[in-house]
Amino acid sequence: MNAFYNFATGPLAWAAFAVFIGGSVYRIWSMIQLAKQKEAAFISYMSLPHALRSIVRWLIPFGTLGWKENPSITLATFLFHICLFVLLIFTPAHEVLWSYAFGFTFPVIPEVLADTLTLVVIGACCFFVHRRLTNIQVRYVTTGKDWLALGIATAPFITGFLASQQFADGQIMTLLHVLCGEAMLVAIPFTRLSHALFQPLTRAYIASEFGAVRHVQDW
Amino acid sequence: MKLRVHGLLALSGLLLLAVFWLGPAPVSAQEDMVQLRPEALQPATRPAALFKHDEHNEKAHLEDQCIVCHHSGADGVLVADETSEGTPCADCHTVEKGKKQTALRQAYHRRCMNCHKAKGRGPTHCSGCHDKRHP
Amino acid sequence: MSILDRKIEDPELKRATEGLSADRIEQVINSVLQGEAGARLKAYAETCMRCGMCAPACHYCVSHDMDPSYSPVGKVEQTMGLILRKHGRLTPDEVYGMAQLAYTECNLCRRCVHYCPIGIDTGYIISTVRRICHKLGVTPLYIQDTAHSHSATMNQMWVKEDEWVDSLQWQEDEARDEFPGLRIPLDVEGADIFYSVIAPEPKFRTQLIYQAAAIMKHVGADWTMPSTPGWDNSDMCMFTGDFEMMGRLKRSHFEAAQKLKVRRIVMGECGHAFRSVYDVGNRWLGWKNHPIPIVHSVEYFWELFNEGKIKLTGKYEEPVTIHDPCNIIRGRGLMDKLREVTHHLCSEVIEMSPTREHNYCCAAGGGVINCGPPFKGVRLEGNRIKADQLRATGVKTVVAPCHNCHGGLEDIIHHYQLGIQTKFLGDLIYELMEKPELE
Repeated sequence: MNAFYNFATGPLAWAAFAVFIGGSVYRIWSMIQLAKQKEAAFISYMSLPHALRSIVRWLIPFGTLGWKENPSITLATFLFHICLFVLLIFTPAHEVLWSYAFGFTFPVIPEVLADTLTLVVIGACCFFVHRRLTNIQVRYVTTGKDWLALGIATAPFITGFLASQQFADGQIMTLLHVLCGEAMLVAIPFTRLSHALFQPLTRAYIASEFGAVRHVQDW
Repeated sequence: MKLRVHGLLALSGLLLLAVFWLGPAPVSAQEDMVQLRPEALQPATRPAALFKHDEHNEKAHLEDQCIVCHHSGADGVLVADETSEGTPCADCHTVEKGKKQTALRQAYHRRCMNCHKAKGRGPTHCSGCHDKRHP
Repeated sequence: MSILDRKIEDPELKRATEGLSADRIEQVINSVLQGEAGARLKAYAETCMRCGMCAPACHYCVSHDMDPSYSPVGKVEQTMGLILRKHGRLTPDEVYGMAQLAYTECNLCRRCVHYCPIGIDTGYIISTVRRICHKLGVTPLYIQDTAHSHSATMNQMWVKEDEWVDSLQWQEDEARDEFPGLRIPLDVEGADIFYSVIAPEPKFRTQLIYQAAAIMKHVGADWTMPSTPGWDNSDMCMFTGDFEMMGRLKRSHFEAAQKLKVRRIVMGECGHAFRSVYDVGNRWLGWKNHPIPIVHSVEYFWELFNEGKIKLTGKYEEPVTIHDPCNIIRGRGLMDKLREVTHHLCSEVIEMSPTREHNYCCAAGGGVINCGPPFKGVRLEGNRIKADQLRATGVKTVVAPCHNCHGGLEDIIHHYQLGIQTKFLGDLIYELMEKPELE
């Protein structure tokens, strides 16, 4: 068990990060290549100021028509993503790993806050599951890929919470948490989670078309 | 109907989690319990690491190899054969990272975990040492 | 519910799908996907999170009590989603459904863009589906007839060259009674303005040409219209997916203006023609923008008011509301200018809710109204929300500076018995401007 844990937090972690970074770079690079090859004309309409304007606007909760008219999913989406990034970086245990491995330290949030935010994320995920099953709009278009993405995104938080609570002997949950986190890293470039990579590009494109060409807001 | 079932599922899931969260009640420390609780790192965010000195060294066959942990040196260079029993780790390893000195918390983590990894024995996950059942 | 549960009989869709084989379907679909689609489609297909946030954006979905098969993502799922899932191996029946959906249940209005956090352009996806349908030869009868007219005559309505000139001269003749000395100048080289219209104007809304000539006379514009093909700025081929023909149409329009060495093109109050000239057809021809400046009537009228060139006898007294056509609002950001012009003309404007770039579509644009009588019910039932929106304003006049919007709104108003009249800005300007006193 120790050996497997050490393998998961050692070589496997390196591999996961390598796949995540390499895969992400490759996906973005190949998407841009494809755009250059097939839709070069459309790249010429890209406008950085309009892209940034739109990206910032869509990062404001309830700042756009879509967010305003879908309040519950907006709340859940923002809570999920904000907590995800806060927890990813500022969880005390994560900082310890950075410090252990690379020797640098940074401020963290209290553990009780980390636990609370984790519960918030799990709550948001429960909402996503519930919505996917009960909202007819969403259920109509839900596929296996959507469940996979949701499952991959939820697992690290459930296992993380249980690890933090030392569920069972602690080690098994910590191990599962590490594995789930690595699975998520690996999955980002190759599943629906790739929206993390492509959303800035798709947003930037439509924002440029709307802002720079059509002189109208895209929110 | 479906809606109610899923709501119920979600609710019971949350309840289950809450139970786990409050679950492990603290157990009082035993007489012979020894923990690494350096003053310099207080207040600690985690329970102090469990470390029964003699028991650990017997298991790890370190009885006559004090220098593995109680090493000494200066400017980032270890001095061979010079041990430092009795000197608290924090005397050399400051909390903040020095120019050529490993920071205290990192020194602890590296000392323990690197050895555990190298020997393939001993815990390397958080709660393996920082056990909430022994605060 | 899916599109296959609500198939509507269209003779051309029926005829065309009957002759399709699975291999042919697969081959055509993949030739478009591999040859023409690229990063946008790939990214959209992969990153759509199926969150359903776009559902309340679509007038079809809202008007059908949020039936998910009418939501933007639901419609993409039944067309492009189906194609990608089945790798292009669709049955002829599925192709029928896909065509009916793409041509009659999406106006390409892009309202859903305001709802999508990812920034997915559903209009583009549905256009690509239409492109596939066109290449399969599966297009609804009526709109295909307009596309045939485009290829045979370079105008949408089978207007022959002599009929075009006749119509202009007829309107000139009529208008000279009211405006002595009025001309509709043909082929004037070096004119300031090349005025282009859509073919339905000479065909059955000829008074619009009369009114335009009257306004041009009133403001003393240096303008001209071409006597040869290229006068029609409309473009149903853009909507059927016949992009090759779209290119020919736009080239003929631009070249007619270039041949006359005019300063700029002013387009009549049409939305889709503006889309075609402004950011679709021009791009197909390789122009990043346009070979010569182009202004929509709304913007032109706005200029005229700002320059104080239009003298009104008074304002339109009844309260009016403003319908925002997608192609010049979401397509060109003319919402402020449209309002300024309307306020110049009308004493009271009551806004719809939502309004401006968030206004609901007319359900006629995107070629839907051009799919003809078989699909009229689709537009009427699919835009109950517009009727509710109009009714809520309490006004009896709606200003809509777009032909398709006019047609769509008139049908809705009639069907839901709203008792509202539709006006072009040109109607109001003509009605209210100072006219010569005749003995």
